[in-house]
Amino acid sequence: MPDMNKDDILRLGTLARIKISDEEAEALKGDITAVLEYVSVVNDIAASSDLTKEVGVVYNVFREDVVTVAPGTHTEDLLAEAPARKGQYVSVKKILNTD
Amino acid sequence: METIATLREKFIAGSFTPTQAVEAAFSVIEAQDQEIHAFLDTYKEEALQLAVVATKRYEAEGEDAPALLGIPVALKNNILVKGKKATGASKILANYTATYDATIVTKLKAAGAIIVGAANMDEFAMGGSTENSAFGPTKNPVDTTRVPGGSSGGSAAAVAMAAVPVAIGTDTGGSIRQPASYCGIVGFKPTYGSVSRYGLMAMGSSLDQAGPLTNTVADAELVHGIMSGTDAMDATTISADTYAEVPVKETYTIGIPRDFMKEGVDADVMEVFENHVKALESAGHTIVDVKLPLFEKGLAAYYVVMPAEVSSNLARYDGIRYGHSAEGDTLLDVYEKSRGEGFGDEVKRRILLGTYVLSSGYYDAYYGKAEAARGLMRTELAHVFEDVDIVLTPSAPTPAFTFGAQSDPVSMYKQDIFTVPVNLTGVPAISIPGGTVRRDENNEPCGEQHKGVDLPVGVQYIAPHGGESRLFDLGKKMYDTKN
Repeated sequence: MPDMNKDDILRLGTLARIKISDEEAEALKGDITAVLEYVSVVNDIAASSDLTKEVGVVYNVFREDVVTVAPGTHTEDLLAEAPARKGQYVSVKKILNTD
Repeated sequence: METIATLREKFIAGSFTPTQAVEAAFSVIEAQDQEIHAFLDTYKEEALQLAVVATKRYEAEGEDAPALLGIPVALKNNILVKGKKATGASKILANYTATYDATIVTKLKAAGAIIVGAANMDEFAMGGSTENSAFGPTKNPVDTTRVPGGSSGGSAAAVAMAAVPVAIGTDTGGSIRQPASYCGIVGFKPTYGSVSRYGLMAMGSSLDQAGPLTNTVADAELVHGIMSGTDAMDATTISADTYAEVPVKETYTIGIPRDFMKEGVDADVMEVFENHVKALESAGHTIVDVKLPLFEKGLAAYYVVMPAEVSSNLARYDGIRYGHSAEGDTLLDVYEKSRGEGFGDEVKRRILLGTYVLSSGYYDAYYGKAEAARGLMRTELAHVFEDVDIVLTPSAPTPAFTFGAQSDPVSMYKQDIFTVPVNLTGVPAISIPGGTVRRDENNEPCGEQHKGVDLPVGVQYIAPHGGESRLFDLGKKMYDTKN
């Protein structure tokens, strides 16, 4: 059973793109360890049977890959919600740090 | 309390009008909501304008008017209404305005319902008490020292305080049924796929369903009938013939998984449950014991599957396209800071858990096993439904608890022990009020002579896939006709 330490939590934060403070990581490590311990019984259920995937009665629905609304119909509404924009684009910070 | 059915009768007769109903809704909200905090936002002016139109339409159309015309409704704030704030009770969406209507909103509007406001909830529907709302908790109208349950706690409180006859909630692991139980009202979770999820903020996409919280089973049936149906915008919606017909009967065979209730259920809650079992028996239904050993472990599978889906679904809140955006030097910095500042503790906890169980090396041990367990639970339940028509459990192991009483995550999660297996297997279930338990100020059970409060306790009926009409039938027989 995993016993999460502070660094594990910070690493998960990086994977999940969430800035976690040291203080938060301290609190989270106990919580996450406790939940992982609790959920470990899923192994008992699944171990007792073969794990073949079954196909249910509900399956995927497809449609033609075509544009169904006129270009620009929702552009203004959607861009109005963007924190920063440049014309018709969402503006973002630079992706590569070249310093 | 006024039901949709009685309001409708009066609207048609002209003895009460939609304008009066909307005014009545706002007089309750203005008198009580400062204290209760069921609503995050209200739309008084617009609602009153719509009510004027509805009033005129009843004069002209009478009983031909659409089924919900002039009926005030509250919507949980993870349901998108074009032009209105859709916050999910999260700081990260505090200023987000919905750019389109959810399918269920389109349907409710077409049926004439008047949306009076947005109901409070746990942040992104994660929690069982509304204590996780970034905008402060909702109080239970039955006893304001207690939580209304959650995550649809604002919806339940809005109905329980008689502001509206119906509120819409969403249910991923019990988030309609548990607050209905705590607030003494009816809460219905449909078969997975029965109601479109288009325009609902996704939490656990394989689990989420929207449903009504109402005063009667008949009202829940009416509103569900309007909201359900195939939707091209949600590929997981089912059609009327997806599942075999689940017939309505004179009397039912009702299975009780007694092993499941041996531990962790309060004694007085069990007493209410047993009284309901007796009532079912005297109404001519047959009671049998059933075994659902995997259901007892359902909560563990749920707390793998749900966080996994949460971690994927909440990746969209990135501070770039909409919502809270923090200052940062690089794009990555913006992501991490926006999400770090915008999400509350429980949301972070579940995203990190989900990230862990989906990460390379752990995927098979957790997510793969949980999905396999889920398949086995479905098979187990299908076998039980070969012999019984309905499975009966308490809706929750306790009545509403006091604020802060369930402070560690795992004990909070255990409130969902009876509701979670229903979402994992995708079947429909309804919580109806079963009775009350009396508790004193220390939450100890007490007699009538003591100063205490009578807290509602719900019972849960579970039917096979597509069995909503059976749930409504038995619910109406056991609850509506007796109240």
